[in-house]
Amino acid sequence: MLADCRLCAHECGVNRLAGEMGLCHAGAKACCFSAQSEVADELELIPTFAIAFSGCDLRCDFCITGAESWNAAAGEPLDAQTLAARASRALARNARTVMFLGGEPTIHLPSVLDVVARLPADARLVWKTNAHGTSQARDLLEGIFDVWVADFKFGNPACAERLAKVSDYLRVVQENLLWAAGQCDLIVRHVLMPGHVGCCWSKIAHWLAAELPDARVSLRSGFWPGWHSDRHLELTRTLNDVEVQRALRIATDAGLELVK
Amino acid sequence: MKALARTESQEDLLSELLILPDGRVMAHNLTLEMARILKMLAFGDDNMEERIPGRPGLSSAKPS
Repeated sequence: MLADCRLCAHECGVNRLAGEMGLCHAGAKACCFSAQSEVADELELIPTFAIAFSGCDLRCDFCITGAESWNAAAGEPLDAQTLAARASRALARNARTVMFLGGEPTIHLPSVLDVVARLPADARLVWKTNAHGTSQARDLLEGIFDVWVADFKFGNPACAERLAKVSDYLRVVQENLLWAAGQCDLIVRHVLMPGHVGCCWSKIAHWLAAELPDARVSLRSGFWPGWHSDRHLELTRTLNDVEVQRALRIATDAGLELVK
Repeated sequence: MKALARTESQEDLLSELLILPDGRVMAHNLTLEMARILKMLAFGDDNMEERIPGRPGLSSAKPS
């Protein structure tokens, strides 16, 4: 699989086992930059033992974990056995779920599955993704995760190109969301960006209302201008109340089910 | 701002906070330990209340 890597929609086809690197710069060995119990995610999922894999196939200038997401070698090399043991202890203590995230976990799917295989069979598993994977990735994911938390970041191609340097974004994400909705519990998450309520959130909301009317939507208003946000004037601030209220009205008018 | 904390199991935990000029605090990688601290600092913050196990869930949305 890694000898001809086509896990994400860039489909670089590089041989990661031989040291070749695609756009994500990930090698054969996955690294993790964080693994701990957290309570910031959706209420039905927390506390969650969140395992964050280094590296990502997107290059979002506003990424809140940019230093680790843009560097696949950040953190520590994956130790699946130790991580699974820690996750199992967390589940026994008070964690409700185990969440796999990044960066982007899709680019490390073989390593993710190695950890999953060591977890208790009844562990509730969450796949937190940018939804930019391929059909090959989906084939590997089928039946594995109980919940997908999928980030739908951009509502139009121009913003995706400008802010994350990714083409064909909408088609890929929408394809993944439609697939996930038929597989497991799906939560579509959108982090509102300042100046992008109309061009991004409104478009996303209308697509969800039309194509995934039963999807649960997590609308997040906590954007903070980190990493390379200063490359884009509109992303150098947090959201204001007017934008948040407008976003909520859009959700209400579209009939979306919002989750906290 | 990055804040480290220790739990009973002595694992290092990391949360990141952004404190805005108007007093709002945003949190990333929010741990239960940090949530409890933030709850103590902002007693009336329902958003934090519902993220602490054993507390009754209340209304309003939580920033990411």
